[in-house]
Amino acid sequence: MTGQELYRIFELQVDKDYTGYWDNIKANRIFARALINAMEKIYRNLSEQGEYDELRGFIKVNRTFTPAAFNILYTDPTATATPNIIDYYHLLHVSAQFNEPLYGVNVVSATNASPIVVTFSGLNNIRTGDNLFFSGAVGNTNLNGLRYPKKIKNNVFALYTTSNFQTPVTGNGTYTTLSATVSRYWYEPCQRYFSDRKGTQYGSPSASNPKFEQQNGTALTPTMLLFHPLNLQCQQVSVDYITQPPQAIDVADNVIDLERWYDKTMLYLVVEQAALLAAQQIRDGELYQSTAAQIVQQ
Amino acid sequence: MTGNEVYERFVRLASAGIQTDESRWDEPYIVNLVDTCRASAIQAIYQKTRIIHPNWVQEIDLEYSDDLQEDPCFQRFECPMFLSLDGSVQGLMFAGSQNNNCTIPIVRTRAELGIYQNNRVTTNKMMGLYVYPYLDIYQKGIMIEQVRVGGVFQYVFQLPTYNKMVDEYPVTTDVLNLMEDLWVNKLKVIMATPLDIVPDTKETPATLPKQ
Repeated sequence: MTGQELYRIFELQVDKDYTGYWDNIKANRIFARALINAMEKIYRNLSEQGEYDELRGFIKVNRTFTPAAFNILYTDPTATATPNIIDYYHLLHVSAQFNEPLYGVNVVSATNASPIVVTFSGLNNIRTGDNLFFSGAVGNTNLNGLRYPKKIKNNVFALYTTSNFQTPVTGNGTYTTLSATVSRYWYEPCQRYFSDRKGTQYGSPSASNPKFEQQNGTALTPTMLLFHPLNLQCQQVSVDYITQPPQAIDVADNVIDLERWYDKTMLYLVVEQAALLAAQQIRDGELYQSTAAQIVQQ
Repeated sequence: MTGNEVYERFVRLASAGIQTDESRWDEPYIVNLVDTCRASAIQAIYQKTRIIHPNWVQEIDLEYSDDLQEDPCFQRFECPMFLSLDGSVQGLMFAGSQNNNCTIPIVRTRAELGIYQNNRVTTNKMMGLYVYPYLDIYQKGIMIEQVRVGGVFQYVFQLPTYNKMVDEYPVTTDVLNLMEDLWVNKLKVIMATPLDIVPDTKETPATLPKQ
């Protein structure tokens, strides 16, 4: 369905010959607003598969970003700062990755073999299949990175690069004892950091229970998502979000098929929303009421 | 069932069966309540049966730290809190070496310790005094680097060796069932239903079938 066809349906809906006249510029403005209104209407009820289908052109999932220092992800179409989601509109879900240092746990030795076998000291809860992140290893630098430990005996683990223990990590030198630090790798769903929870101990964010808050900034620091805890560096975030309208509706266009971006039901809803706006503009109470009733019915 | 699974089970119980990232239940809060429920359930069952089920018991190795030492007469270890099963029986069941060849009798008061130390038979025996948060081991001329303790701990999720993603949560089915009863009836955790966000004048939550 092209913009021109959509406009024709709109004309029939508002009975254009009797109710008034819109030039293309004015019609495009109405459709731009109607598109947002229709999207918002579905977004607010977003819970069933049908509604997700209707919004398919607006939904982006599992988009990964590496936040800037201070755990910031910008969400402003005009921002030049990075990383930035230029088409951000509404948030659906966000997960954040933090590496939580295992304080008091030391990497005493790491063999120059395949797989690398590490020995820890200190009380710990490291288990087979954990996600461990090693950094700062001197000598045996292949130790560094995300590794999956497989227990050999108490405090002694073999390291693999895959969670199914198929690919061992191979040593590349003599490890300098105690040079590496070990952290636990968390990639967990974020909850919103409500302002009223900032005074509570239970509400404090942690690496395994990360939180985010939205902030309005200045021209230099535009709208952003800020990830907590702030005492750790957020390594990566995975975001599901609603985008800005991916394709503008041009009522004069007869080439672009809008169904590539928008569900057919969505396009009909856009027409109805546009009719509603048109009825408001020309102060046609009867048209407004009948269109509103039609929308509720659907 | 791992600690994380138990946590999620109880969150869902308090949130009409769903858990979303919009939840206002904070994880540390729920975890604390779960541990409290477990403690109450175990106490109730123990007081009825007088049996400590092995599934409730956990072991942990305490490590020697120079920073904790105050007196050459004993060696001090930091020890997590044990659950008091009733007025007299404590959750601390075992203290000794890692291979269990050596066990250390534990007393709870200095007066009790004094009696043993002043007795001519037990005066040179190794004794432990557990007063939270410390376990003091009294034995002349022996340096202990590590002590293994076992028992029913009060706060499972706070144990430094407990991994909530992997380790079994130390409960039995009867304890779990009682925990759920306590959760709903005694602790009165709000059983929330999803918000009605459908603008249709009916009291219909969005996740339920629309009429």
